[in-house]
Amino acid sequence: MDVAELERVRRARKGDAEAFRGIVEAYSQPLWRAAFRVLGDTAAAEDAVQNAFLRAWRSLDRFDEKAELSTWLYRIAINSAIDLRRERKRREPFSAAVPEDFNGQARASTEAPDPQQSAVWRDLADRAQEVIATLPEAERTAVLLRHFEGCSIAEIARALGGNENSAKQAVFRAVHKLRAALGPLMEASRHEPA
Amino acid sequence: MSRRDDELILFFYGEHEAPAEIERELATDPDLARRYQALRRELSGLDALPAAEPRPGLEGRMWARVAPELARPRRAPFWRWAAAAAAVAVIAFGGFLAGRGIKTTPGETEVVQTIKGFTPEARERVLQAALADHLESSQRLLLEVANVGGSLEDERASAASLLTANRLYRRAAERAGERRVAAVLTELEGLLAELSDTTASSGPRLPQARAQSEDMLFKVRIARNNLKGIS
Repeated sequence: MDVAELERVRRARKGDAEAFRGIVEAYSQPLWRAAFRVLGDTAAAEDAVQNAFLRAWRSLDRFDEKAELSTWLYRIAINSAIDLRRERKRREPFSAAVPEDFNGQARASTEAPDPQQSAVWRDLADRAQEVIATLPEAERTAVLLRHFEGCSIAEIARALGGNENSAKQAVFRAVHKLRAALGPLMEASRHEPA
Repeated sequence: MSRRDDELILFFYGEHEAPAEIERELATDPDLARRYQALRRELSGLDALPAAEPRPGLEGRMWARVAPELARPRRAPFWRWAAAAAAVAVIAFGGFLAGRGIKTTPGETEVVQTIKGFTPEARERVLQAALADHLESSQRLLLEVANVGGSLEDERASAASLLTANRLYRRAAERAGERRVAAVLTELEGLLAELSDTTASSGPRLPQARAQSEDMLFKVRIARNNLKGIS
């Protein structure tokens, strides 16, 4: 963690809201993307990030200064998104699992997707989200941090509060489960007529 | 030598300690190359997860949503739990006494009166100790469920007794706005209910109960450690 960020954390810990504002502004976007991957819904992702920042504010006392602030915040954001997803699933069991904008704003604006291909990828996305949501917390955090955020095993270990070997094992278990779920879908899509 | 899938995963993520060796083997071993291609293909399925950009002005919106909440106290004082449910106070204080080998079993009214007479700090300490005891007992049970072979017959009674206390703690946590603790206790409650149910905790659902216990164990441990952090 760089000196300026550490200083912001220390000031925020003492109740300095302006210092915390710096953290909110620096991390809103990356945390939103992490939450969106879990939720597939733009408004819900904002809710999850808001919850994550509030959880972070209330738990700043427990943040270990030796750890990376980004990894700590990601972990909170991912957990907030998963909690929200579960809550929404309980309330709207049939609609919550479907991402509102699967292709995303960036991709949707550039090309019209092939409907058949879109359906395949949509199935994959649904399945991937489903599997990720049911992974044990350590595995879920590990694979999201590793695959999407590019965190190293050492950083994941710090985020999980364990050693590198446990972090590695968490990544392995998550990847094996994801492969078992996504592999057959990928295989089937390869053999479908174009 | 054939490489394990775990090594290929490390290589894929750029974490293998000897990537040059793997690259050489991939170039000369068609079977390994096929396995690696399959891994890459399947992990690319993860990239199918929705990707998008937030609406412009996210930072400003987020700060506008977060800022008003910052004025609230960081952690709700633990003693508010006592006001949240007299039943929790009974269990907490009873458990506290029992856990320390005090033989007298006080009546509910007596305990409530005793608790009321405490200073807020003393109530906090008692309730904190009682919840910590509850989480520790749950941790032991989950560990047994996750690791012991055979049926869960022996664990059923413990689960049933922990379930009653858990419900009270969970309700009190919800009323006191302790969302994190309440979330863990809600999840724990579901699992304890399942474990205390003879039909659900045996037969084909046994492996599932074990896996859930393993997952829950991690969360309970964190909740327990967070309680240590309060003290």
